[in-house]
Amino acid sequence: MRRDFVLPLLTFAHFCVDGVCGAALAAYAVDEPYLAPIVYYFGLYNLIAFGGQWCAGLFFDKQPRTILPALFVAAALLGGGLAPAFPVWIWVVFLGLGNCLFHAAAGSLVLRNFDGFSAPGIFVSSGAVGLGLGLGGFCPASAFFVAYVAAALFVAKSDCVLPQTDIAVREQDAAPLASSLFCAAVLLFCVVLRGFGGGGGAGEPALLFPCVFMLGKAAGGVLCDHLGYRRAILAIFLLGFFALQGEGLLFTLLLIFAFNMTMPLTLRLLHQCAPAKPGLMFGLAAGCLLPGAFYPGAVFVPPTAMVVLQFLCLCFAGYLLRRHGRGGEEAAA
Amino acid sequence: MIVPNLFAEEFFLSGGVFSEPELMDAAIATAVIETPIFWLCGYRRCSEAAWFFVVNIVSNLLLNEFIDATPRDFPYPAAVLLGEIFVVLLEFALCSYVVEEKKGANLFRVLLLTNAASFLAGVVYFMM
Repeated sequence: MRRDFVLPLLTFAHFCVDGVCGAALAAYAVDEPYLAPIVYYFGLYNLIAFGGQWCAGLFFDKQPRTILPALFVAAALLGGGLAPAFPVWIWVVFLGLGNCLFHAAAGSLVLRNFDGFSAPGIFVSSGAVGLGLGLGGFCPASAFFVAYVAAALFVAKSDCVLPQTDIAVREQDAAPLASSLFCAAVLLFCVVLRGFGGGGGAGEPALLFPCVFMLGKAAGGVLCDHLGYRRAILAIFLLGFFALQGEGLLFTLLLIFAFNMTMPLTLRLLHQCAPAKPGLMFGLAAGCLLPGAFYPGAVFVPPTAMVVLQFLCLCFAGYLLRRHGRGGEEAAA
Repeated sequence: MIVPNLFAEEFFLSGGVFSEPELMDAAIATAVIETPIFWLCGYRRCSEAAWFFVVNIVSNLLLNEFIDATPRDFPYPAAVLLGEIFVVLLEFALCSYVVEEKKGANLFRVLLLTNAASFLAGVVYFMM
């Protein structure tokens, strides 16, 4: 299998995994007459799937040879999550663990094997549409599952895990520890902030917002590779500023598009903060989306403040990497 | 990465300069006050002054939209102060695109001065 196909395959696998989980959760929610258990099990799923990624990512960083097998362990867990014989909480845990393992493994693979911002942007883009299709009941979970297993098999044929020596070399390229930690904290704050800026309108077509999420993430990475980091964050800021000057659905979509464009930038810069720990950094970024999911109305951040804070955080993080780190070449571009 | 969220609320943007063109008046007035001070402080290249003028309009529009969007129970002076802090930081970040990095500390002082000047001009205008 040629290495060129790995990114499209992982992107498709991401689409399928989120589709499996979305479809299974939606099928449960349709049959459940009470809201409280639905909220509880969605929360449990989110907690495991997104809160556990940093642990799985850290494990993959220590044991990179386990990344490819983990894609099949994730398949087994997702398959278990579709088995009707289990009680609800068991299959929710299975789905959460399967999703968690896949994201940490595939995210780690993408950050290790591809340079630049396009790859993480393209990889993360497809999940939103898979989840939208699954939650909307457009496609059964079993179809997503079969497609995922096929994609995982093709990825496994491509043997794309970096050898351990390359990771040791990358460790030397890291910025000084204090600078890296501070930079990572700034970027993670940026992700937390973005977690509060998601959501979608109940009255709009089901796939409208997921498609905007997808386009935003993919476009952010591609734009950053073409313009360079500094110009790209300026372009994203100006796009957000333009969106804030209008009102209604179109400008809201434009603003959400701009918000999502920052995701591949934060992922790649987080990776540059700790080049030897791509799994951990990917997992931490995922975990930082949880506050926005669990406490959506707890913090009101005006969209204007969100646009400015995101720009300032990205500017500052890029500056820190540029100034203190030898690993920040992409941020310096 | 998207977290399935049961509580996603309907949210649409409102306001902005396209629906409230009068916001532009205040922004241009601020830029007209601040740009000459910026120029007098040594930033005399045409590109620097022109960029600063645009940056001022952007930051002032955002400041006014931020103050409009803050909740009613949030104290107005605190919103203005917070907004002004963000304005200085935003202008610093944006101006760093055209001003040399070694002039960073001086740029920050100049931005504090220009913003203090326009803030005082605003206070005088509203007291008259």
